[in-house]
Amino acid sequence: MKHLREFTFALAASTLIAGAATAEDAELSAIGLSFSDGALVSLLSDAAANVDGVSVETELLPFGQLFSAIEVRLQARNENPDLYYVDGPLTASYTARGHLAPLDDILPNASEIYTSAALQQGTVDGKLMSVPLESSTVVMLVNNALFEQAGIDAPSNNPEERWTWEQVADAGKKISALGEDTWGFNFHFGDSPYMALIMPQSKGATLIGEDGVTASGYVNSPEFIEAINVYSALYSDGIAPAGMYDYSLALELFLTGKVGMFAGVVSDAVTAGKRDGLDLTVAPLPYFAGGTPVTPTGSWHIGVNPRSKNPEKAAQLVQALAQPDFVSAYFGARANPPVLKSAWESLGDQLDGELWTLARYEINNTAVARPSIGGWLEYDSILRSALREIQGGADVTERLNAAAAEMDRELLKYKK
Amino acid sequence: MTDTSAASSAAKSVAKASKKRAMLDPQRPSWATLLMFLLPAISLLIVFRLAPIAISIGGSFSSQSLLGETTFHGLGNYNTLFTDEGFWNSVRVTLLFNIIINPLQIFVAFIMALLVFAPGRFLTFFRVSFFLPMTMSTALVAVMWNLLFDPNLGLVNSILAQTPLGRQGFFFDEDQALGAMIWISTWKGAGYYMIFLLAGLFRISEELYEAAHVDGASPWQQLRLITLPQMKRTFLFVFVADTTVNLLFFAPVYIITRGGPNGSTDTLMYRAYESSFTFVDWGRALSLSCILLALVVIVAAAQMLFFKPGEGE
Amino acid sequence: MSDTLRPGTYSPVKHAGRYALMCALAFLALAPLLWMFLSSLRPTQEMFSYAGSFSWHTIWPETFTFSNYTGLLETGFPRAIGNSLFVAGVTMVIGVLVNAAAAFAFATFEFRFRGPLFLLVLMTAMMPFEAIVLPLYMLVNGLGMIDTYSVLIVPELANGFVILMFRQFFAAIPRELYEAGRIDGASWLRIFFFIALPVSWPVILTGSIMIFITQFEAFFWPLVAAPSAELTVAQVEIAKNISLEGANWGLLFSSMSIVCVIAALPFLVFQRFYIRNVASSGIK
Repeated sequence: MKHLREFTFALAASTLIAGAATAEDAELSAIGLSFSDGALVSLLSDAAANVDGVSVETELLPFGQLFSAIEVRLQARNENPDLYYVDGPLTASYTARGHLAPLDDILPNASEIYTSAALQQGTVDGKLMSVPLESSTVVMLVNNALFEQAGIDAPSNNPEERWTWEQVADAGKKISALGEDTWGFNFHFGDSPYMALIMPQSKGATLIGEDGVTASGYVNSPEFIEAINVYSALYSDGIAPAGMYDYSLALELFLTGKVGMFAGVVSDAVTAGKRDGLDLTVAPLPYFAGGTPVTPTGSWHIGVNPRSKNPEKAAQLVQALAQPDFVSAYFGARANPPVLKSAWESLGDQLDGELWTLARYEINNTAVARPSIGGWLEYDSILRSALREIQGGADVTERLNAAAAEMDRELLKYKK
Repeated sequence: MTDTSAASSAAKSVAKASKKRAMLDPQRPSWATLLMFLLPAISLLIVFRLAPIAISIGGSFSSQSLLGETTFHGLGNYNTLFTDEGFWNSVRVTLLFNIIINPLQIFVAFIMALLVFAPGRFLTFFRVSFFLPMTMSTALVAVMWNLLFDPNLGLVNSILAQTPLGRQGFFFDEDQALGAMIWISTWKGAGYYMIFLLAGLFRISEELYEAAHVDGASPWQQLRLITLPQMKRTFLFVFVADTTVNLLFFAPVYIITRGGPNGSTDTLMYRAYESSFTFVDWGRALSLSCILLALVVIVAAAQMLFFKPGEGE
Repeated sequence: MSDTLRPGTYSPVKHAGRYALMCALAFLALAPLLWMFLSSLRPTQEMFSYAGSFSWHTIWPETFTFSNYTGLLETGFPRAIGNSLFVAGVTMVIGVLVNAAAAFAFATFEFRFRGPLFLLVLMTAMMPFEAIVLPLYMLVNGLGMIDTYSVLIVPELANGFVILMFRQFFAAIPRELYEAGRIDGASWLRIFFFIALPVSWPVILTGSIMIFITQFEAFFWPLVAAPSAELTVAQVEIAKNISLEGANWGLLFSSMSIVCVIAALPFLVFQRFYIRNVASSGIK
């Protein structure tokens, strides 16, 4: 074995271009999401510049492989990386598997500075496990031209005049009737529980049992089924295009003017606003008459590896990431709702206008985070498959019963 | 004259003299010589492949707690799999996919190789055209065909909409999804296997054809009696490599269908990937991988028996 | 080898059939790539404007722009192409030697445990990579190779399928050919380099292409093992154009087109040597 190692080293040395770090100061390693052409690298470096003796080396991963690549690193259970990106609802999963260090002592005032929707996702069993960087909310983008063509009044920006799903279905049918390639409504992430769950939630359904591992009786509860039947009808009535699982294409379909109402994240509204010839209204998401208005929210967080060799330095960096300066710089690179309460004031002039006023209203009043359960990844994936089958015409009750049974089985490992 | 034929005629002249000697003196080199040839590759394979494989096989007999403690689980992971209906569906999907795609892909590749083998004009253009799809990674091939086949914005469907066929579901249609997977995989892979078959064709001695030509053999007879038998070794490689790739097929499934619609593209490898990265159940993922490994080895062994070169080939 | 090509038996019908079939296959292979290339010349705004219902502009851009190509210069893409070329090139050169040597031993020598050892070699290529990625990652981490070029190259040098491919061809070389060398007292190393390799050049080229393409396509391993910006390879850089919020179509298509052409280069060069007889008389 020794020879083999030597041999490997010799080969390695011959092709190696070493990138050894200087050891004077602590160099933290971070894994983040690739966006805006690598903007995160300089954002984190700038934040680290405010902390003495800390620099940060950031690796960027494309979204499609973010979770699997992080999973390999974490499963190795070593000191790398010091910090990593955490999709809000996965906080509980990483916590249950011992991949996150608690951050309460680092940010004792978290509950005062962060918006509650964002903070909620970073908190597991009352402990702060990951720190939010950016939030999200969903609005309904309305293509005014199609409404005009169909001769219907478009929904307004006012949350007080929020449409019901019944109104969406009525108007949607008329817009779909305009042409073979015109659609009344579409979700940006049509098969994603992030978006679809607002329907059962608006009906008052509970998504999972108190224990966080029981799905039967919740995912197939009467309210849940009733709501998903309405979801199913959107596709079977030809209001929404089924099978748009490529999210980029789903957005493109709206941007090319073929969709009347589009449930999209805030950045979609920004993108759509830049398209020529697209006359938009930013309306609130629909709800069920008699139910409560619910909007999805989710946030990207950053967490600290409990095996980090530099826990103090990592903690200091996390503190720097909670500063208003960082949050506004972040907003500059990626226009998603900020997570600091103060940023809504300090970014004031950038957050004016109907889009941000509505986004702010939704985050403060209707946003509901996804359940904080260890098995969220499993829940999400199983429900996603069920939603796809339902878009394709599968029987709702039957499919949700099957999904609930599968969830029960997969979530069992998180039972305390 | 090419090197090959020059060398083979040279070989023939010495063959007579040394034939007896060669039979008596099997090619047994000294240990030092043997190591010199084998050690670099074997040691690299042991360190970077066999050791991790051994660990993974071991892992398939253990279960991991949420916090990473591993305990011996015996055949537990396998038992759970065998009682899972979804697993058997994946076995069916994987086998169906392979029974169709392997012969199809290699047949197309062989046709391509024959077409661009014989001298002619513009061969560079055709060879490169056939090969070009291979230069895209499987993931990007999946992304591209997903765009082309999209029900609403896809180019293929916008053309089909003009024909009596109308728009097709492709990946979204339970009956077409696996077929669409076979199509994109063949689109990418055929040109790749063409290059090995092409190299194999070059190896066949021209004299064999000349002799056959003199005997008045038809092109079909030449193909059956000379080309195919002479290509056995090449075909073995191509079949083993292609079957392995296709038994482990999953990237387009992950990117496009996630096993759907209704389990119609839920290959074993996708199930293994999902088990490790979505269900974070490494014990199950590794036992699935080991089953796949066993399947690949068995199929490869069967292919080796089938393509065993006869005497004198 | 088909009879159609021999002087004297030329048949125009067969000739036309051959070219018709080649054109059809080339069309199927190229059409999607051509669509991708033409799309890379569209401005973002126009990318899918004509996609829903078929018209001339569904295929042919209304406005041509090179901005998607010039835009690539401002990203990590040029560096990533350099990385991919370096990694694939080095692996190709060393890998051909390492694998061909082992294959030569398996094809030529007789030794104990040859069969079982060869089976193990094959097995290394048959295990799903995703199943060994975790132990492999921990191993290279222990060896201190993480985030270096060597982690992209060294584990990929030896390849069970490349060895199988070489072995299949070496096994077909008549043993008598080596006997001449043995009688002259040449060492096996000499025989390998001066007899076995020279008669196997189509195979060497094929093996080179095989290693090059495999490395150029590598995606998951580079992502896990060498993710820092300086080491990012082309496939990873391309994937960064697809995000949750929406794809950057222009850069996606332009970078895919470029990678396609670059990855085909070795084949473009090497395939010129896949010629024999009439046309090859000039090549020795």
